[in-house]
Amino acid sequence: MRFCHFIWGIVTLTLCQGMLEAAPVAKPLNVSPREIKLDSQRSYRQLVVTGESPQGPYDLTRNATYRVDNPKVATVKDGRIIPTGDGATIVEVSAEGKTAKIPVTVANFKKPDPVRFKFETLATLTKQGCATGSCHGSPHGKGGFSLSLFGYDPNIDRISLTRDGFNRRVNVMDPAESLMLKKPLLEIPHVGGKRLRKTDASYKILKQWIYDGASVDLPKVECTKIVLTPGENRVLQEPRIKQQLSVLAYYSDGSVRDITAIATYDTSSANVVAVDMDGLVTGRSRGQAAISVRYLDKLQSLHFTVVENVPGFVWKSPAENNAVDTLVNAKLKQLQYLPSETCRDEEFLRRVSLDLTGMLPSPENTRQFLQDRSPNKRARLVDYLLETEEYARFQAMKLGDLMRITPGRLRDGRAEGFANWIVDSFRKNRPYDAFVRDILTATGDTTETPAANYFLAIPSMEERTEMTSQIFMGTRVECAKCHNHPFENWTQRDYYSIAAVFARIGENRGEIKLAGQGESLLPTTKEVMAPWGAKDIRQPVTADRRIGFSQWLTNPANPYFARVAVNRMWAALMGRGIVEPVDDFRSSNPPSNDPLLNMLANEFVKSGYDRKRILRLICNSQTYQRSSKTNRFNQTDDSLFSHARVRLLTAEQIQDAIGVATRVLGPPSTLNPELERIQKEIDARIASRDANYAGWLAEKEKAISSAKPKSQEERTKLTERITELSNIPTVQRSPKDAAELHDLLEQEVLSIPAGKRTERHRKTLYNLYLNGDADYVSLVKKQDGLANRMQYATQRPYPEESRFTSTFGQPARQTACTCERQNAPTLLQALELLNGGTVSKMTQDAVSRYATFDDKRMVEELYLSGFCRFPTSQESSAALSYLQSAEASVKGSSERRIDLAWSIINSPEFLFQH
Amino acid sequence: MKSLSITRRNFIGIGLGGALSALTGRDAFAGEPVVRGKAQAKRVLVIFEQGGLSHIDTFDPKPDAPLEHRSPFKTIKTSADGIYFTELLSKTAKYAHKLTVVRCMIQPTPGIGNSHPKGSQYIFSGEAPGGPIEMPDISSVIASKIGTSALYLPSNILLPGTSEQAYNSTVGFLPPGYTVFKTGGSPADPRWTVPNLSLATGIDERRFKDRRDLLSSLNIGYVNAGQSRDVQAMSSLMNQASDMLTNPLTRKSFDIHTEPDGVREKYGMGHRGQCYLLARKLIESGVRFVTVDVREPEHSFRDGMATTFAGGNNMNWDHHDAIYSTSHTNIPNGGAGAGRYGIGTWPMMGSTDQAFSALLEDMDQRGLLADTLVCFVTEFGRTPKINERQGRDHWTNAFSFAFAGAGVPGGQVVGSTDRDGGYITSSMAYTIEDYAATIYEKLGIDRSKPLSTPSGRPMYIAAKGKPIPELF
Repeated sequence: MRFCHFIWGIVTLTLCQGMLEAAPVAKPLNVSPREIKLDSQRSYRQLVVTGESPQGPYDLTRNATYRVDNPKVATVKDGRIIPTGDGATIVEVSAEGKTAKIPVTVANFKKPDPVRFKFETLATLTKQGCATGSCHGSPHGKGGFSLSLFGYDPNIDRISLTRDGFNRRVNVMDPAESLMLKKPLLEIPHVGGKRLRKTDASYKILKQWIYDGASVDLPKVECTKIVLTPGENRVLQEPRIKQQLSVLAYYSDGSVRDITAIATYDTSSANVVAVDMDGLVTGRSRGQAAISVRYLDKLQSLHFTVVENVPGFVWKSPAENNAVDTLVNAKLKQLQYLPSETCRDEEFLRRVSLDLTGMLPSPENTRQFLQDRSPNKRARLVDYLLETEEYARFQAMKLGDLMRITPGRLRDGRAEGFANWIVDSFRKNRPYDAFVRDILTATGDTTETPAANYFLAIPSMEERTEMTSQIFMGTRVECAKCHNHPFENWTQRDYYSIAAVFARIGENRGEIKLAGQGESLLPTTKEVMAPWGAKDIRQPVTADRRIGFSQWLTNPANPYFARVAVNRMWAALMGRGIVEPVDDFRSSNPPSNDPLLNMLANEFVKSGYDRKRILRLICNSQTYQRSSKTNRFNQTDDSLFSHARVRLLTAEQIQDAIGVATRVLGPPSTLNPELERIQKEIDARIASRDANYAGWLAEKEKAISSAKPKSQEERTKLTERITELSNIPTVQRSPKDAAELHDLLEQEVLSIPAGKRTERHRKTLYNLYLNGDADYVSLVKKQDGLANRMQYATQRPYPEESRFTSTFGQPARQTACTCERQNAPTLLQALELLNGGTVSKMTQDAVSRYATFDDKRMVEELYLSGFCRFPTSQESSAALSYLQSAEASVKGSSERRIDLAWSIINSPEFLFQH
Repeated sequence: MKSLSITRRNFIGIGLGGALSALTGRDAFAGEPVVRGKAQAKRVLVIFEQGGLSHIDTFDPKPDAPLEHRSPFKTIKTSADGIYFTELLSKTAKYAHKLTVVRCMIQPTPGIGNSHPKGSQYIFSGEAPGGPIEMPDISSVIASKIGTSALYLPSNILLPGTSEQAYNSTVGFLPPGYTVFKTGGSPADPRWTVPNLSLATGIDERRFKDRRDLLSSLNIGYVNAGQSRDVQAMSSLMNQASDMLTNPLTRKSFDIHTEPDGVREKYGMGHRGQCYLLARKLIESGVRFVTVDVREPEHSFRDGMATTFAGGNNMNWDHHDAIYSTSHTNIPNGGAGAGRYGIGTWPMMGSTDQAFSALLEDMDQRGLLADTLVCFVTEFGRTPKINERQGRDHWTNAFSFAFAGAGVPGGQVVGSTDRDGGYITSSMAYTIEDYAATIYEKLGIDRSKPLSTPSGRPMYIAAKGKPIPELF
């Protein structure tokens, strides 16, 4: 006790001195927790000691000195308080001239405290790596020993550990002889290698559990949450590159335990930060990473930024256009990257046109833009592009990928109907929340309610669950279908609770309706799950469960909805999401610039979910308008947006770009006059055909009345055949089938006596008459093709699925994952470009399209349309000398022109966006 | 603290896997060498006879089956003592001493692979379809693991590949660079060339070179190009592709006309025979993995002349109707078996027996069997009972595969089936997963090292399979 007083004396003295000198009052040292109560021999408590600097808080846990008043009550190791006997004492923590006194009491030191199977043994097996997906946690186990992934199903594990393997895995009589210890210790061969040392805390826990009798009782108690200290994200900077974590588990019986030693720690990037078994984090190199802490089905993450001083780095404040730049630059400055220069006008024009409309601008538009001298021309260009039809169609195409719009799945015009409905939402800039609610609550005949096709394209409850989560919540819940999500807090219960939202959606002959019955059951217990977003499961059966869900989803407070949407827009423009992949939001996959993502999401919510507003904000920023040319202070940056990202054009963009450069594709602005002209032709055709309708009908009636009436059986057969043929998607119907269908429909309607025909019958008959005219049909086809822009890969309602587009990674629209679109260069692409039919055909067509231009003008136009710039004088003369060389006599001038077009298309400047 | 460097992993992460492996011919996926032990095979040739070939009419004769369900084809002796085939394999029978026939193949979970699309995917990927993540083709996995030694050729080739099963062959979650290269067309067509692998019509080598020269002289305007890894990757792929297009060896490997007439005739001068021959040529040129998925087209070629098999618009092995027809199987009130030809006809077993026997003889004489694993496979067998349309339906409970080369013992039969060929009677039974594991093991690929999906999920190859011990 005297010792204790002595210490007090020093502290008092220090305080007095401080006051006398009128210096700022030294605050006591920041130690968490302020007081400790331990209630068993195996309990412990990890301290976290924190210092303060103008740059923010930093860790002192391993630098502090610890002094215990009464070592018979507790000791301290690496900041961890470990009990040594019942009683009370004070632990004095000192660092950087400050101290704190932590009262510690220990009780029940002698009382037995058996290791708890569910909360300690299983957590330890996960910590040592035994229950991971690549070892015994894999669906088939390993070497005949199978555990549930990260202990998600203790029932599997208890049987596996104590019943299987002839009871040799656990030897209660002689714990050290248990296979589950000897194998990971490598005392006997273990394919998984050495996983355990006798000095590990984990070894003690496992051995103690066996020694205690290897009880596998599963109490009703659950872990409700885990809490980390520190509780907020940290910056690590030399020399302060370490951070001790402490982890508490809260249980449903009200108890709380320190689990720092048995929690599992992972880093999202070991290059940036490492973490050891005791939760000590160490900064490794410049960057950002998440440390995730797992305990059973609970997971929490902390994000760390590691700052390094880069020799020679001097921050030069670059111009800022808006809030995007402020937040991007703050991050760049902190991590010491220097942004690139602003890009040139021609680069901006090409980049923003491709991003917003999918297409290259016409050479006329390029000329105009390059000659424009007004200072705000870039902003005006963005405004202009956002109002084009191409913008609406291109954005809808990308969304159509995720919603799996294909004519195979959505037949008889439904694919076009759904796609055009989405186009219209972009055209009218419909608020995104309302747009999504329209989709998620749609019911009705899918030919009349296009939004309901969302459910027609995704037939099963499970797929609806997974796709809805992936598209709108950026979350891959499919892992949780079979086991709890390995990297996030999504559990199997969550999965089947979202599934319950879609459990009562029925479909009948293309009509989506509320089925009034159907449940989602948790596979392990067969428990009926309440739908996500509903407070009460006892809803009337007629209730639409999707309403509660979509209200939850589109609520401004939803943690996913707005963030996922703005991140998708950002990724489309910048070539990489702030969260990447864009549909993998989880705390263990941190955003590269959290304040930026928050700002964009807030803007989105505040603007009433105005998509154009966000696109405009990004496109007008300096950040978007940076050059792809890097400097020595940003060439290693891959995620902070210090320079533009060079990327291969998408399949559709390349195809249309080749079309524009070879002039095979006219500017879409020429479509409307053409459509008007065709409409006139169609009208004229109908008028001329109308004159003959009565005669045609009379003849048909005569033929049918003279024929033998059909028997009941024949009529049934006729109807069956009609149904069969109608079920073939229009695009897949062969001409033979189409002709047969036409003929059978005609027979069916005509067999109804004229007096009994309804208005619908008469209309069908008239349409069949019109469609019997080849000229009329070809005009309508042409009109459809033009109206749906079938020639433009970036503008069509559904993909062409040609060899060219699939080679360049066009998705077949099988999944809701943006990763289905593959953008990595491949050998087949190189072959297709150098030697493929598409390039060959289009470059040959270029000859006639450029026929009116002389050589010099052709070179200029090719450059303007392919690269959005004029050729340099060097390029111009190289191209001209090729076109006009007499030496290459084997080739005529057309061949040389084809070669030039081929070279433009095969150049990186053409193939890449930069 | 060391500064950020481009590690191998994140270099791959941006999608250069295909490019790298194609360029270096080494594993670019797993990060470390994966070949272990003594690999018996350097190359694999899979003959996938798609549609469900009747085992009881070919490799597993059942002379004692009830008469009304018995195959009309006689049981014959083979070159191996005590091994019998039906007479539909009378030419192949002369090489039985080079073959192991596994008669105890089974699809253990009924229903999963009992359709042609799913069954074909099962064969291509070696894993039952319908898992949470579908596995890539075996050939794509191998391309990602060990690449190829013939840089002027794709490392995995499917020839010719049919449109019906186009989606069942997949690169799955692997980088797209490992996608199988499909030749399309028919090498029996005298005008046939591989699309994109020989220069397009009108473009000779000189003009191609002119174009490339022009391209490089125009490239000067783009100053940032060299900084991007994707740009670098594309430009080296362009170089590789140019080499392929102009390297005489590429064309030679695909040029069936470089083979003496005698050899071509031995394989049979139709579609199937020339496809088998092309497969041998590609294997000889060093292609790692060749799959033959051949189906005689209705409008085909024989002896260099156009020929038509009237009514045979879908000639795979799916003999639901009139299996013993001597021409097409289109019968009144027929079912799903229309469009084939009877199993004993030339476009079916006639050409198959000739081509397979020629392949075995030819590969043996050239020494290719020493280190090439040859697998003759199908999705499933056919019912022991003949149905009311004189056809046989799908049967997953027992079917036959045949193997040769790369250490596979000759003159061996593995497993047995009952009197009707309906159920396996031997103690052992092997699955398509076991078949996949066999291929990986023969190539020395370590199956304990998982692949990884883009989201980081570990995926074990042939996880449920074990190599078939009798093949080693």
